[in-house]
Amino acid sequence: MNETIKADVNSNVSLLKRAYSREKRARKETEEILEEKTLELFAANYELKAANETLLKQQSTLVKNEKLAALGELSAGIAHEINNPLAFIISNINSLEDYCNQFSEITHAAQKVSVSEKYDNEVADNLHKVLDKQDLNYMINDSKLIFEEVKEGLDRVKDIVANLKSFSRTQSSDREDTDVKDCLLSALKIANNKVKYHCKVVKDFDPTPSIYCNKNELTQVFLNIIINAAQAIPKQGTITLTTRCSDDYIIIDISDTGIGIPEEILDSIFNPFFTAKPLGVGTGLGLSVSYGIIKDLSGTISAESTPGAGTTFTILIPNDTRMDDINV
Amino acid sequence: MKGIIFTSLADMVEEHYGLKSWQGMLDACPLATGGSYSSGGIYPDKEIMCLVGQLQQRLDVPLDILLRTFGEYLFECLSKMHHNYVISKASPRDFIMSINDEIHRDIEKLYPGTSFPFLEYINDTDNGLSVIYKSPRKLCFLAEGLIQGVANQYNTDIGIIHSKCMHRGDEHCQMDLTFYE
Repeated sequence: MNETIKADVNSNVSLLKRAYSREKRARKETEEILEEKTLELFAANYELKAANETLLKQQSTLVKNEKLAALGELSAGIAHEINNPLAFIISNINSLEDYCNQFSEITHAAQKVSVSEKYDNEVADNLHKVLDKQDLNYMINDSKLIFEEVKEGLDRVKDIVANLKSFSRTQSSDREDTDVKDCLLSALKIANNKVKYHCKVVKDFDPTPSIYCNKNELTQVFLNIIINAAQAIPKQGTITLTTRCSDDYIIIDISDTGIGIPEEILDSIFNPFFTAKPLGVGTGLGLSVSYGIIKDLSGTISAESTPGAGTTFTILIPNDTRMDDINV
Repeated sequence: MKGIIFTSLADMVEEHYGLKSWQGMLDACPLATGGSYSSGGIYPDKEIMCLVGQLQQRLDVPLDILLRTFGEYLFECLSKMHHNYVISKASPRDFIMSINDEIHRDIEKLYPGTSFPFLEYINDTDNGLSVIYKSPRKLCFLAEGLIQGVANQYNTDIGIIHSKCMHRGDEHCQMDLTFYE
């Protein structure tokens, strides 16, 4: 009887051992499947996240471009509307200044007459009284100042209108083979006075192929950004200029260690008339003009900034800008 | 075939006839896998056919009855694992009609390469529906058991008439279902 029970127990133990062994293999297989699926999920999730980020960036760029395109049209309209009256205001002011100069000469002649002994009569006396009463000397001197200020103001309006036209322009002009490095150095030279006292400038130029563009305009873009960079550095800091190449683009980075741009206004910096500078320091057109120039080259301009740490402007210009010129 | 069919068969045999019977069935079949199955794996069809054949011999019951019984048990196992599919459908008819386009599609996404029977739904009336079943495995009795499992899950009755059957020489199987409230 004991033997029978023993054999039965042994049989059951053997059965359980085999079942346990199968379960162990099955568990291992399940773990392998789980691991494989987890890796697949991780990879898929990673791809999805990257795709989502790209989509969000593209969406944001599209919205920004659309907005800037609309502003471009608006700017062109405003520039045109202002330009016409501006032209006749400038012309009339110039004529008026000529007339005033002539009037001034007549007045001087009259003054000479009024004090001349040759004309010692009642007419000369009256003339002297009138000239004294009206304080014509003051009026003539003040008119000169008024004309200077008016003309200065008109020049500023003219510049603003020209910049607005520049932001919205669609025509390429005066293009030539241009070395990006030359334009950067040229901009640096022009901005020297605003940079040299408090900024260290680091230049890291990889050789880049020449691009077909308007040299002065490209220099203007760099100048705008370099001046902004210098103004963003309150005490001492560094401005770094780099050029490099990818397969399709020339990439220009202009970085500063300045105060940075708050995130909430970063999207608006290319809008015409947008400025974070104090009143009178900037027109808010520099970056919008730069945007227009780079866009004309089928390139892109973007900014990344960390408040308190600095800002980097990145400009991408296609290697083959000549094709765009043909298309235009 | 999906591993859950194997593990469910093992569970059913062990539950009702003991571990010894399952071991006996495994020993009697030439199994490349050694009889070790996990629900997420995919295993050769011939192994399940052999194991079912062994069970039929041991129980001495007709194959169709055995497969129907196993189908009911299998659905219970499946619904425990994937309860969301069941609760997302308001009625057994909705559930059955979602098998082809939702459940099989999701399984294909999770386990690419899984082969499924082809189901087609015809004669969709107020309380009736005909399901066309086509599969080289010819496991229509298992499908019948699964439908019965659906009825059990929803606490209702479904009348099933196997009006056409590949085992009787028809090109495909047809199950005419009647849904009772």
